[in-house]
Amino acid sequence: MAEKEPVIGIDLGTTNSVVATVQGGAPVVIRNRTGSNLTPSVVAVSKTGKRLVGQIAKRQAITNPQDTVYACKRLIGRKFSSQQVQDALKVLSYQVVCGEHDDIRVKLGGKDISLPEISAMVLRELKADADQYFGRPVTRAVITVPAYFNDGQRQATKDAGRIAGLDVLRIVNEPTAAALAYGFGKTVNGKITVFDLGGGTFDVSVLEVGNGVFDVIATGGDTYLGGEDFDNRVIEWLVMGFAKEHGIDLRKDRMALQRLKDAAEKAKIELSTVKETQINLPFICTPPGGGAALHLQKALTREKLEELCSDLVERCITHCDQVLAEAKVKPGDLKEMILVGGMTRMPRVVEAVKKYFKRDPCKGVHPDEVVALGAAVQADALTSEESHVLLLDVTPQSLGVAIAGGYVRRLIPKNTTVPTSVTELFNTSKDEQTTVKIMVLQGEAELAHQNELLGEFILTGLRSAKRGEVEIEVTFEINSEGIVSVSARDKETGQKQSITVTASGGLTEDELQKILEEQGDYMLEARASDELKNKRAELDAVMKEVGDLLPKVQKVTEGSEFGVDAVAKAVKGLESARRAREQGNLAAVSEAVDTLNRTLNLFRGVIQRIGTR
Amino acid sequence: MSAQRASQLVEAGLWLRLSGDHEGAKRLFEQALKLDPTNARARQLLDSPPPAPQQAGAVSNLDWGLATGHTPTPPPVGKSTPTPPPITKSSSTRPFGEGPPAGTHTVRLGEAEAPAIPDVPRFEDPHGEVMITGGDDDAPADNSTLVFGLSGVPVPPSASAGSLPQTGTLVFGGAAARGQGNAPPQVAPAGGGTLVFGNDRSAPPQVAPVAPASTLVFGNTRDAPLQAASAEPGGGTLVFGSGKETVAPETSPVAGPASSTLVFGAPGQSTPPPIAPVGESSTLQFGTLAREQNQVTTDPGLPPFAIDEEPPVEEAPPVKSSSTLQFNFDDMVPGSAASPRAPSAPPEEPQTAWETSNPRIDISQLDLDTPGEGAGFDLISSPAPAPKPRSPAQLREEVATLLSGAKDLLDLDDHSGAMELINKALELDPTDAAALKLKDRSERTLQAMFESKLGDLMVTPRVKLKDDEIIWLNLDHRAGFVLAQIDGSVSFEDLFAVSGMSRLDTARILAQLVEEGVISKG
Repeated sequence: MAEKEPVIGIDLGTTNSVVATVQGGAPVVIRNRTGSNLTPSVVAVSKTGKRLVGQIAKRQAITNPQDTVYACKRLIGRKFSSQQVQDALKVLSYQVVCGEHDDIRVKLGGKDISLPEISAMVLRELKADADQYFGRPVTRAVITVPAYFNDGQRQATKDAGRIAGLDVLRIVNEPTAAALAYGFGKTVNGKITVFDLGGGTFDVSVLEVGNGVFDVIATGGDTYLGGEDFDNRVIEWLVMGFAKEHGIDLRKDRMALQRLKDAAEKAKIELSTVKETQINLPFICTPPGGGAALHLQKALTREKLEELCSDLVERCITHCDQVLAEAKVKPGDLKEMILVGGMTRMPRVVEAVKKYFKRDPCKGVHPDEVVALGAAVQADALTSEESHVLLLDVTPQSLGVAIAGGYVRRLIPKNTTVPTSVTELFNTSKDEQTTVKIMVLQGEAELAHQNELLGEFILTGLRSAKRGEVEIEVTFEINSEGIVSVSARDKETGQKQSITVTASGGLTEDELQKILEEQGDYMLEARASDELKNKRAELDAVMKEVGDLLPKVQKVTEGSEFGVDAVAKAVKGLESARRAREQGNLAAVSEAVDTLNRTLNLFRGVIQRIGTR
Repeated sequence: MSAQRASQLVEAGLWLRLSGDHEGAKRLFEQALKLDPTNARARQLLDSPPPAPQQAGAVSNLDWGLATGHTPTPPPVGKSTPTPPPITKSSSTRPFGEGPPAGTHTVRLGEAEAPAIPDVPRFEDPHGEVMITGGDDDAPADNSTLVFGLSGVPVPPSASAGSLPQTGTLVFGGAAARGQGNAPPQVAPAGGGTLVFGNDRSAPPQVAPVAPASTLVFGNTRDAPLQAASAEPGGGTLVFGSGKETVAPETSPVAGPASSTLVFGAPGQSTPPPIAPVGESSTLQFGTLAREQNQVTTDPGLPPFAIDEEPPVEEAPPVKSSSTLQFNFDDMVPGSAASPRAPSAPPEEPQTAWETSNPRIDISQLDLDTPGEGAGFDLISSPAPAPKPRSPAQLREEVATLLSGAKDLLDLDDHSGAMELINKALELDPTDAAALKLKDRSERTLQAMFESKLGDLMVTPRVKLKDDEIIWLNLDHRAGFVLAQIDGSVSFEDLFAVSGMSRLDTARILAQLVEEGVISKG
């Protein structure tokens, strides 16, 4: 029996991403190359022109702010002109420009790059870790997104997966994935809440779970509240203390700030398990007038950290209040509470949540891995014949049309299983109205303008009559591919107009194809570069060995014709190897390796035969 | 041709020495001597030790263009200048290494950032000497030498200079080991008092002992030192601040009876102030004297300065910090009221091993022309001077000299030294094609050198020291940053990417860390 093709689940987070798979029936996290479960969702081009992804990109984020892209999840699939994007631009250190279709492009390494491409770099890194884990390429994945993501944002995430060389089986809501990781689809029926405090965002969702269907009743939160805000409080405290002591503002020095950020995050994490930690940053800065570099050494207690961040925890609870009110549930009505995100390890956060929800959170799964593990469970269920988990594709948000008065009439509510079709009759709203404009909207807001406009068309040639007399039949259809078709038919005349709406992540199909081709070239280059790197290392080793043996051979063959000839050839070989190494040509390096290997074998033989006499 | 080349090398070597690369400088001086064995300057620089390391940073910011020897050293005072009398046993100026004579103290105030001194030494001058009270020895000696400041070693005796009874010499600060700067102050003989505050770079004041003349030099005299002319009894000379470039003293005028000269601030590079006015006239100069002179001539009727029989001041001024010296003029009284003024002796070649190795501190190059707080007195804390405009020809010449030195260093495989010179040349002319080409060549070679010290760049380095050991290292914040990134998960190659610095700088730091055993190569 052929081995099952591996499939992975990916939590593509704002700050960190995680990849997981199901092995032997249990979901497990795949560690990245640095041995960590979390891969920062950061992409950069270093000053030396190297493309960096993950931890290494994060480490230089402050010293190289213009060429480091982070939190692109906040922007992906959105329109450049949207209010959310305009708000985000105020706090981003990298440059964002408007694309051809009001989409977003990021300036990175002197090039304009679309956001799906940026996300694809992170996904490719995760895929590479998975490839390494399985020992063969992985091509299929389930990716999670926040519950509030619209079709455009989901499509952009799918595009990112495609660019990264992944066939995205399904896009899953993060709270749903978290619930799945606990097996709630089978064991729990009722309302549960997911409290997700990540690195950069805070989401709280209320889900109705029943018979394998996960319905997100309400979701809310703050896209600008997360672990980084807690880190910043620690940084502030350190900076103030240092300024008081030495009169130097460390924030002005990028290197110092980078170290402070790393140290603050580390200290915060440590304080989740210990009561006090030492922050030790030797040679943090050189005084302006010169002299010996100064050290920053400080002890931070859990108590102090909680004092510094108390208002942030309060903000989380306020959002919980709002979401529960929206879902019309009380904390006591909830059957389970799941904590997601590394920040929920902080004892003060756990305490506050317990106090508010009046129950202990679910235990057993690491909060920063739970979403990826749920995604892996879903991925496994989708590809496994034995799986008993029923998984349905549902519409993430409601679909409807704009009606008189600026309101929305919803035809397909959110979480409707696809494929689906709905038809509804509408009437003209004015006397003598001969045309009608159909505006297709997506979203949950009551007012039309607060929803996402997917497309519009006009149906003409209606009979001139009093208002309400002419009937128009509007049909919404979503096929299994998620493509929405909307048609309007004059019932009297049978005249019909229609529109097909395909979710767009900001890239056209042509653009996507072009990126995929370029990506192929890049992958080839990357492979060639890896090969060259390996060959160079091989060459270095053999050059060293030949170089070490050369004097010995010279000595033992002194005076002989063979010796003179062999040594001269070896010297020449070393010289051309050095040149080949510098040129960086793979063929030349390989040839040099072969040549020197022959010389090495010869030398070893000479030493063995003559040298031991 | 070779002589000219040698001179260029000497100039380039001086750059290096100023920037702290003493090894590179030494090589260039040696190269210059090879080319021109008669090049006395090269020999002298080679023999003379580099300045103390603390100075390097400060000196490297200085405007060397004004002190590269374009301005000739002023000629020695007239041939008739009498040779200073030999040292007598009554002088308290002593050879280095010997114990202090009874009743005298050699005081050195701070090497770098001297803290405020709680117990300010009190100065008394009961017998025409400058001494510190409270000494536990008897004080029979007639003469004292006090060296304040950064030189780090006491002022040595000059073989040719002698001290006679009733002579006092104070040197505050130090003189740099350059040119004639090794010669210590010529101690005034009988009755003469010499006080030198700050630094005399090239040559210290040569105050000839003509009783009862007194000379005070506050601040710095740059290339051209104060060469007090032969003064008649009663003459007094004070120079406050810095003499820059040429403070060519009037050699001919002779200070008449009771004549006084006071120069406050920094005489510029053009006409120097007449230091020794004749007759009853007194000259006072306050503030900065750059190019044009600010002379304030006092009422001729004023009494001469500091020729009192009994100095009125008993307490030394408190030293607030090493970077700001505040003097109360009233406290600064020359050694002996009865000191007759003597013609100054010409600067002499170093006579002893000590003299040639005297690491004298030179802050005289600080541009005291720069207006600002405490100009002329706030010597160390003065902001770095703005570069002086140079003519294109001058620039080209300087760049050529620097590049020539850089090429020589490259031939000697001293790429670090060469980079110093190339960078300096590029500072002068950032577009110079030859400099850019050389820089590229040097950088590539240096990078290859440093990377070869690291070995396989894909290897993940590890920190070998513990946290509490690391803090005792002598690293700057950049090295500290690189060190902080080494956590056992990033390779050398990754470190180049995350350092935020150029590949060369990162490689240099990493090579240094490997060399010093701070990190391991995998």
